Amino acid sequence: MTITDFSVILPVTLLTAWASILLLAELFLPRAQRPFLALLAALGLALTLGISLAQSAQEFAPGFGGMVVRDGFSNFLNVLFLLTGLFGVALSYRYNQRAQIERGEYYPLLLFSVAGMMLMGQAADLIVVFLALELLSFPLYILSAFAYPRPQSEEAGLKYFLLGAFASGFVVYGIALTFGASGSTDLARIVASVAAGSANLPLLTAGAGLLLVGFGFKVAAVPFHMWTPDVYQGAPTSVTAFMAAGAKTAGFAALLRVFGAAFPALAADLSPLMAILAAVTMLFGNLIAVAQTDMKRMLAYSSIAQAGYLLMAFAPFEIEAARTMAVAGALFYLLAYTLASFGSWGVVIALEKDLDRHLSIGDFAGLARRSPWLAAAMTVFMLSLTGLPPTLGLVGKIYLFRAVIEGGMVWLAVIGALTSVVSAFYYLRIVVNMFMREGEPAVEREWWLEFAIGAAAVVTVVVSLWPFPLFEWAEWAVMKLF
Amino acid sequence: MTESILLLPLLLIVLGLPVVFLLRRMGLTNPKAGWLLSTFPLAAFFILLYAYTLLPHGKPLFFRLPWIPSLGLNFSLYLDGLAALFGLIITGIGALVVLYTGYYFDDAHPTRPTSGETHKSSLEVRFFAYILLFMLAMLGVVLAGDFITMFIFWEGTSISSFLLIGYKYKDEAARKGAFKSLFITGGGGIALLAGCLFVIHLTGSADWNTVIAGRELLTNSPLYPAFFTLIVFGAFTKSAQFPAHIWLPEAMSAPTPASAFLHSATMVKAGIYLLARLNPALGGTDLWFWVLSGFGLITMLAGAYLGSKQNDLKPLLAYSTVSQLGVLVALIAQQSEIAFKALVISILAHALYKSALFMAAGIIDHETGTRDLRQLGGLRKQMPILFAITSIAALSMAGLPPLFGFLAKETLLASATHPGLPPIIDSLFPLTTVLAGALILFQAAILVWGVFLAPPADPKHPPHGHDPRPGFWLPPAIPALLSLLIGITPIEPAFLANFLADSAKAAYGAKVKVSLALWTGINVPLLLSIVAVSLGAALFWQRNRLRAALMTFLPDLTVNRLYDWTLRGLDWLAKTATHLQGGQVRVYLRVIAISAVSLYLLLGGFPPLSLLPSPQWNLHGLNGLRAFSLVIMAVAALSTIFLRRDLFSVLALGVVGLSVAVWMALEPAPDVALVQVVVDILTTVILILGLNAIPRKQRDRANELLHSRRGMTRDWFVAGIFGLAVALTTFTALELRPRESLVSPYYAENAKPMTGAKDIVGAIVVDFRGSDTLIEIMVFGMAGVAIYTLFHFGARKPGEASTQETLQTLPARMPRGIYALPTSPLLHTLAYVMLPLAFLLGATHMMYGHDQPGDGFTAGVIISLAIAMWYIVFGYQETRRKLTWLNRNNLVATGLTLALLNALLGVALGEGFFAPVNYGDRLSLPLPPGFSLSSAFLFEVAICLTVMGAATLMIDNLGRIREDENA
Repeated sequence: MTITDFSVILPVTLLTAWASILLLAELFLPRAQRPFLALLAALGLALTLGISLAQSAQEFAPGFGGMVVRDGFSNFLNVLFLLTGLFGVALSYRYNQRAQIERGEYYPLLLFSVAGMMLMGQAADLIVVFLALELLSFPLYILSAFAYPRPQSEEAGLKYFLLGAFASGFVVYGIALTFGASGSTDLARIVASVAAGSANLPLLTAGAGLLLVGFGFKVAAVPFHMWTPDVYQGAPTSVTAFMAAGAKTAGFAALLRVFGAAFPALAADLSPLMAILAAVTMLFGNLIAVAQTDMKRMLAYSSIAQAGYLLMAFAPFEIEAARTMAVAGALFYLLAYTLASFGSWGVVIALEKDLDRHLSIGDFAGLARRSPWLAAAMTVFMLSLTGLPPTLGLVGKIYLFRAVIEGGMVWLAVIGALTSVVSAFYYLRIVVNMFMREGEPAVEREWWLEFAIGAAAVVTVVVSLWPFPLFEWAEWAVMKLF
Repeated sequence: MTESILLLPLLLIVLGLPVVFLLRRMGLTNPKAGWLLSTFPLAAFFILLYAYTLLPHGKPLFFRLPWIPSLGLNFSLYLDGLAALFGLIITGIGALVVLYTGYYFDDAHPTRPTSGETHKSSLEVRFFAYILLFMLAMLGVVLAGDFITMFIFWEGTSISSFLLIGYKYKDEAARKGAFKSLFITGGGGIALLAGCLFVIHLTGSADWNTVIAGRELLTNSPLYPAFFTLIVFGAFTKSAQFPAHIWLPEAMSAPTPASAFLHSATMVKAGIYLLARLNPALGGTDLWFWVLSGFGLITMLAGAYLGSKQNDLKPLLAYSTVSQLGVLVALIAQQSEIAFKALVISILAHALYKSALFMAAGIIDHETGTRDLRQLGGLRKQMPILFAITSIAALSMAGLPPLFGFLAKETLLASATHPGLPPIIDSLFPLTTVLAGALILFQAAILVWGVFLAPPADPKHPPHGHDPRPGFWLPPAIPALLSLLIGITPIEPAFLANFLADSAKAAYGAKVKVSLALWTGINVPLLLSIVAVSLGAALFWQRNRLRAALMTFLPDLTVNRLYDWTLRGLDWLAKTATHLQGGQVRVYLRVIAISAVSLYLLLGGFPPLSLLPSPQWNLHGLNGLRAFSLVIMAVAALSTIFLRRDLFSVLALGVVGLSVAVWMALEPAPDVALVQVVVDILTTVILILGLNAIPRKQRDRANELLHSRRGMTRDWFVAGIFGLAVALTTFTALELRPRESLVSPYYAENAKPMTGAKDIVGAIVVDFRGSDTLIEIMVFGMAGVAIYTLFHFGARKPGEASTQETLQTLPARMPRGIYALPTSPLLHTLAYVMLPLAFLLGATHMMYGHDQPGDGFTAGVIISLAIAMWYIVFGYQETRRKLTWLNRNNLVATGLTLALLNALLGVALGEGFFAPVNYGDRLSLPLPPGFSLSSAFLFEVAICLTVMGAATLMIDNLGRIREDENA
């Protein structure tokens, strides 16, 4: 173990250590001082964010014999995950007090999960990918079931865990087959063995397919999406917000890293499959979202549909030029999605005064009069999710659609556009409700929450108008990947 | 930097927005605000005019700011004749509309509930802001220099027009209309985006110059039909072409100033602008001609027909707009000079007369309180000025000389009778034009007649009204007068003619000559025009009969039902799909399993058939023990589905695991086998304890539900398919894998020299992949914490304190084991003996794990199993009472801390993070042979502690639940 090794995993290690200390600190903290934990957790995340940003200028570095790496890709994602964590804390802070789920384990678990996500972005070995997957998922299983006396929450946790464990099985089996086919779990060596012709391609394809099932579950791609609405609806909303953004991004991080870096040789086999998955996911997610009246379920299906758009990034993998663009586009879209998703779940939290009642779409009526800024922010998020200007969602969609067209998958781009039209129907319905219907929504005023929502909305708009720094970063992040 | 002048009009309107809010603070009345705010678009109008004069001869102005350079996207503005024509209409009419708005809202809402607000001004801030916003978006559409910039403003018009249409949000119809328009036009916009991405893909750039230059590339591309459809779809939805026209009449629930602006001059013209703009790039193909002609002609006729059925002034005007839009689309389809001349003249003429008519309709509504033709009449004397304005505009709409509208109709007829037209269209086009012209004339006539000339429909309650203040009638008067002036001016306005020629050139792609002379001699168009006028007059003569017939017999031609059906169908589809999502994990698992298998098949996951005939049945290794365990394994696996009691199924699963362990042990892989055995047992124990936590009744019920005949069959089927797929995969894997592993030799060679371990598995776990192990025990610890969190809080009833102290004060009683069954003293003794034995075993595992099978993980599990036995034998309370030293949370924390410290200690000693350090040698401690006090050992201890803590946490929390109930 060298200094490079250490510096490569420094952010992950720091966060894990911080989480462990937080776990201990909780034992000594009197009950009244519990809110302090949130602050500590945020501090830990901010500190790690600082380190990650400081490292972002550094060059590609492998650590632990190439099992983990630090490159532009992982840096981009680390920052994204840490922001996810900070958002998660901000959204949880008052909500947890309100929901009486402010238990000491909450923030350490959240931190552990973030650490798992970061490790996922850095993993360059399938074993590490699997470990990261478990490290990030386990806390989420627990957190989903955190609102104990509510049976929906327990059901959510159990369901997520059972199905998640099943999906993990696929990942393990996939890793085993990949190992069998190429003789290694190291991504670079897998590529090398494919290039040298010593790998067994049918077996490798089978392995890749199994990995796809496992990751498809994590990112909630149809037909592995079934858990999503139940879990999103049952879990405490603060957890859902964190999970909807973080777990999906982490799943895509793994997909991008593994499928982007290690399996381009299989592109001919995998591309059509990915395209089908993307199409099915977009169609299904958007169509079902239309029928939802429960806000949480609607957002859950919307997040499924968004996974479909992200999956489009894997369709044009056969063409070299399109691939780089697609991955950069996916990173960019992930950022846009994270902001919009967090924002809209934040608004849900703000409106969820009565925790036992399901928040329906009708409950948004009159929000524009009651709390105009909140309604404006929500409008921004809905526009961004639809892909309308002036938001990041539009830029992300332009990016992805172009990559797909560049890759020659015209039909996929058309399906993407048409399903976006369908999505306009349910996203804009909320805008109509907020601005045009009479209602007296009960709104919680919470400083941190409002700050987080506001920040997400402002960034969504401002960066869409001035995106080049971010673009350059995203493209630079991808350069080293191939 | 002359081109940066293009930013100015946009900036001026942006500047107007904060001014609106300032005015509110100043407490200005609506009309004053209208006057003030109209200066912003007016200034923009003159700047545009000035910018147009700056155009270097025939060359457009182009302004660019980089936006996303890596994708070749910019924010760019562009001014040529076409853009200038639309831009001047937008800002010119915009200025009038803003002025008009002030008066329109003057007494419209004299008593708004303002009691609670600090600002008591009744200024319609919202409306002014929305209309400026819309103007900004619309101006952006026509001034945009590339596809993407245009798209962004395009969607901006959808959103801001949505706000305007739904302005009277308390009205259900307004909300519906607003949503419909947003859904149709906004959705069309997304299709447009996809279309323009195709174009960018082909030409490499989004700006108009490149797109137009790429004409050959675009029209010859095999993708042409795809992006043509997408773009035209976007344009048609915006420009209300049949059958997407349905949003336009419903958008009439907007306040009249908005209608006057959006639905005469601007919003609906955006699609026309786009088609005209793209004509040089995409036009001229057969597809272009037939699709645009077809939709244009149908829309022309449908709009004219539907307009004749209306009683309400605004829908009447809206439908005639639809008809006019059809005309424009049909004109763009033609590739003749005269058609483009007709296009620009029609655009201008229509913008002038239609905005005047809309504003006049608003005044009538404002003054009399109704827009219904059946309640109006005889207003000629009461409102002479308005009568004059309306008549002039209506004459222009009817296409009668000497008005500008006449010129528009003449040129239209001239292009409809153009000799270059292909068959079918050459007869359809003139026919449709004449019919539609007659109907439009009819509408113009009944409008003027019904409002001003006819006797009041209800003589007892004639409508009351009088001419409004000059500020109110001035806005419609200006465009109406212009329609007249352009027509009757004896000297042809050369500037206007050149300007229109320039616009037409940009759309046509070649030079177009425009003259504004009304009289061109007796020719076919004039004759047709006379036919149309006579027909219209005849219709008007028979107006009562015709209207009655129209109202009662003839169909509505509405495709609203189609729209409703689409939405309802979408809803139905969605609901059906939602049924799949019943919340049953069993269904979810089934879906995942089946999908995984089909995914696998799609991937071509079958083993190559060539493998099947000659599999290497390596049977000589199959001895009795292996065969026996194989049979046991298969039987146990099958019985997991068979067995009706969950407990037995769990046990059967355990048996499967143990049989696998037998195979592993025979392989020989003792380390793995050992771990498999202990983990298998631990899992089974935890599962049994977990089952115990569920009340008996619920379990019985669940078992019953699960084992219905249909459910069983389905499970069999799914499990069978899935098992088959896995078996095939495994078979392929075994047949195809490389015989020699790439990593094993490395480990075999380096284990001893690098880590000092004889046991390679031990070396891998604690040295080679030490950090993996660290993460693994973290996950394990977290699982323990999870169960603790869930059950600890779950089991505690409110107000009940079940701490260690209360447990210790409980009286000792006859211990009862799991399921509250009494247990025998023999078992008790056994449990007493097992625990220290387990500790001893665990300790040796940790000490010699480096060289022998076994490690910290097995040690932890073995000790946990011994503790689990206590729980089973003594029951929860008794065990808690006896094993007071067992503090589970601290065990996990200590274990993790120790692991991290151990890893960091290496750094402190200069060996590096996680580096092997032999402390025994360093401190020269006397140690038993074969045991070295190394970092590896400490790590094993840490693993053991964590695992023990987590496992006992699980067991403890699972064990307590039922006992609380039973007790």
